[in-house]
Amino acid sequence: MTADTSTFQLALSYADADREYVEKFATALEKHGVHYYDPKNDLSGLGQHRAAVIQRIYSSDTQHVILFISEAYVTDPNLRIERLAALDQNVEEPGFVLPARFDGSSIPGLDNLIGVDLRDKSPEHAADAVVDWLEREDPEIRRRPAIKGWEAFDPARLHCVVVGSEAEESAGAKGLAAAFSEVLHHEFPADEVKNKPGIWIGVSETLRTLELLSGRRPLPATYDEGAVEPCAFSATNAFASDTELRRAIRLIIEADLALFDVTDFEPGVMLLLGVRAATRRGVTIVSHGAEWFEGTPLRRPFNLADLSLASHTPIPVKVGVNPRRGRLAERIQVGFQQLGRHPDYHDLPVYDALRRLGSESSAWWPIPADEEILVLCTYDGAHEAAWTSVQQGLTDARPDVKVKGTLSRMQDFATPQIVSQALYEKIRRCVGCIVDWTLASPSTFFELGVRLAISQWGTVQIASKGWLDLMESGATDGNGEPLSRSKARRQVRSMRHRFQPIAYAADAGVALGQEVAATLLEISESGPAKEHDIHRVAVEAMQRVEPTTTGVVLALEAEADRLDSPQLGGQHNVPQALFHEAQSIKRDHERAALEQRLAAWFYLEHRLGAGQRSEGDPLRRRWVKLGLQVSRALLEPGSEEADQDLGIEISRQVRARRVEPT
Amino acid sequence: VSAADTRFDDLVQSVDVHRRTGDVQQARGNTEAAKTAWEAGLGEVEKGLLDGGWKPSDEADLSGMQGGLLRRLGRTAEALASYRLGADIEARTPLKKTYNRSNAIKLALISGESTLASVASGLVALEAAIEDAIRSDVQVASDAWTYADLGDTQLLLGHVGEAADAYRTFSERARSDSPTTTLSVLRQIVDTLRARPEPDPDASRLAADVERIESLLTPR
Repeated sequence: MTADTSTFQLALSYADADREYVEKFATALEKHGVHYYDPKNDLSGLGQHRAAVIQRIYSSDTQHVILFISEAYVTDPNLRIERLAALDQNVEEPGFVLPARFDGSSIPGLDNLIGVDLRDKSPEHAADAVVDWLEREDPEIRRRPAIKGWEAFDPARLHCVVVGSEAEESAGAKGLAAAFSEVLHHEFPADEVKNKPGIWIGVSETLRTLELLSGRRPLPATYDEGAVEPCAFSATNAFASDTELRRAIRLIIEADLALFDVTDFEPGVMLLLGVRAATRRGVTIVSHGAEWFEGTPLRRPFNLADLSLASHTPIPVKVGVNPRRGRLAERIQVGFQQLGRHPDYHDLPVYDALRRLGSESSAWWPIPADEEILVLCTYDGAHEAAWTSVQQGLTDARPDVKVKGTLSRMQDFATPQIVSQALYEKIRRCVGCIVDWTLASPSTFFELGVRLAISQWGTVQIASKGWLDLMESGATDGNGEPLSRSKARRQVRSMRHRFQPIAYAADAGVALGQEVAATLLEISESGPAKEHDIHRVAVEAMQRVEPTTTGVVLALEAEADRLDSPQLGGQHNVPQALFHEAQSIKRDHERAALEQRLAAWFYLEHRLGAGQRSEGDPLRRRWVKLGLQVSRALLEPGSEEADQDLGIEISRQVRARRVEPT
Repeated sequence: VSAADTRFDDLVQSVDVHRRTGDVQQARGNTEAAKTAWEAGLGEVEKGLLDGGWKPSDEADLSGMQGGLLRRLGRTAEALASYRLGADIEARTPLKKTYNRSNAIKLALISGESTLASVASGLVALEAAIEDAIRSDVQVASDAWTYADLGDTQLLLGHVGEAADAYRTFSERARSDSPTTTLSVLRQIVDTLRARPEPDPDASRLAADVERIESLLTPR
């Protein structure tokens, strides 16, 4: 793997007493797009050996450390380990540590280093000074994204992305990325000793047959390390800055193979998974770690209910290769096989539901915001009061604004249609859409990802202030579970910077309603020209990786084969239709298949002139084969005389211009 | 799909169009046109067999097709030889398919070479082979032709109830144009048995059984 899943640009080391200042400083850093580590916001290392975690983060997992030196800092014994880890690293790598001083307190080994004097600086000014220093130390730092990966999609390569969770990143467990790395190095190439072909063969074969708008995929038939573009990053990295987010979205969409670590179903991971689900029909593996194993119970979000969830928790074995590797390799292999064979292959929901809306304009036209406003939020009972307040606020605000559409949550739709089909149709069509982050429902963030990727209209994002405070404080219940329902604090903090949700108080009432309505109005009146960032990135990426629409002949043949495939010219006679025992059903399928093949043959004959093409032309061969297939069917015992005549005539034409197989 | 499978598929498709064209022309009374079409199909099969390079199962199928075309052209002895060659491949390889074995027996009856009594032991062996194939091979068990062969064999053995079950399965599974083909062969057997200088004592029983089966297979 070429990417580092847990590299921070800067790690912060400070005393609790200085927390208020440092938090403002950190907020300012985020505005500069610096991806930093703040130990006070990290609960996910709990249960691990503290010294080991600190040692790793303050040495190898960050590019620089800033020490906020104060009297409280030098006297706090708990900070000694992170300070020493950073100073040791600074010996090997001068410039690794930057001291920032609140007072004249002394730290041996650091007193001679020039740092930032915080006494006369606001947190924001201090952040500016630190960013200047970072850029002097490492001019590339702001241009060099924390997320690595390919710069441009290369059709001759296999692109793979692993999206890690904050839980595993903070715990230093590169679970899914490590598991994939093992598969890549050991299962993709052929194993000559064991005489195993390696899974690359099937993967590359599938991709070579699937044509993209940007062209065919000339992937090598045998494995070559250079033909794979792997990339891994955590969801937390993805939201660290606007640049990182754009990059992450592009990589997720372009990847032929994407692996998502959904441990804890974190909001950021779910949002990125939603983007993937809405855009790409490649192979996606959704995997859960944290001691969960396949086949054991797991409470899943509604949107992932029928997903074939993988586990990347190592399976306990005493010796030999962990079976986790083989299991993941098999999933990848089977996924690509099915992608190649099955025209409607899906490993995620959403894709077809967004695209197959029906042909009538009423089925796909946008639904204006003064008709209906879609609300995506949790249905948790704990949110009911907040929802009622939001709803009331918007209702009360309506006399003053032009946005008068009915507010509809999914459960408000009076439709017998299955929920997923109806939901994604609305996500695509509704101009007005409000997404409430409160309680961090994984389904809501998945739907938000779908919406942001596909809709040109944007989204009004809101969150209850009470919940945001709980998220920020990391307060837990008696069992140690976060009251906010999510442990992904750094992720949510970064997401707040990126999306700026409107924070509403429980009693916000009409004020909130007016603010939301004003934003909705802005969205609805600005029109599609002002596309938001994620959709624009998606549009650009989709031009490279959207598969071509199936040609007329192929589409007709595929549908005909689905109904009644030619079985070696009648040498086999295996029923294909479900309920084939009913003769009328069987006959209907056979007839429909014949008509589709006839349409394909006439298209080849009259539109493409396939029969007149040169002998080696594949279209001419197809025209011959199809011609014989339809002739055979038209000449079936008991067929109408006109059909028989047509069969004889087509067979005569085809034989006159037939190319004998060589 | 391998190149060999494509080659076989192309040949079978083409020969079958010739065969069906011949059948249509024959039904319209255009005997010469029918003969021309069947001969064209036969030429292609024979060229294919000469070219060689087939898997045993493909070679057996081609022998069966050759037999079918020769039978239509009235070259019964050659047809029988083709079916027997195919039957030999089926038994020797061993293949689960029984098309040639079944047709070798039926054509021997149609040609007058055999009587029902003289083929009885062959029919018993064939019935056992088909039932074994159905139990052991899901592909054979899914193929409607298997049940046509089983039904024919059981009917010729006088096991009418079992034959009716097999034909019912055949009718449910087969493409809708298939039952006509198998019935015409059974009628020919009855005609031949009746036309023998010393009529086969089983001919009347078989005629009655075929009628029952016809009424079963004819769509209402």
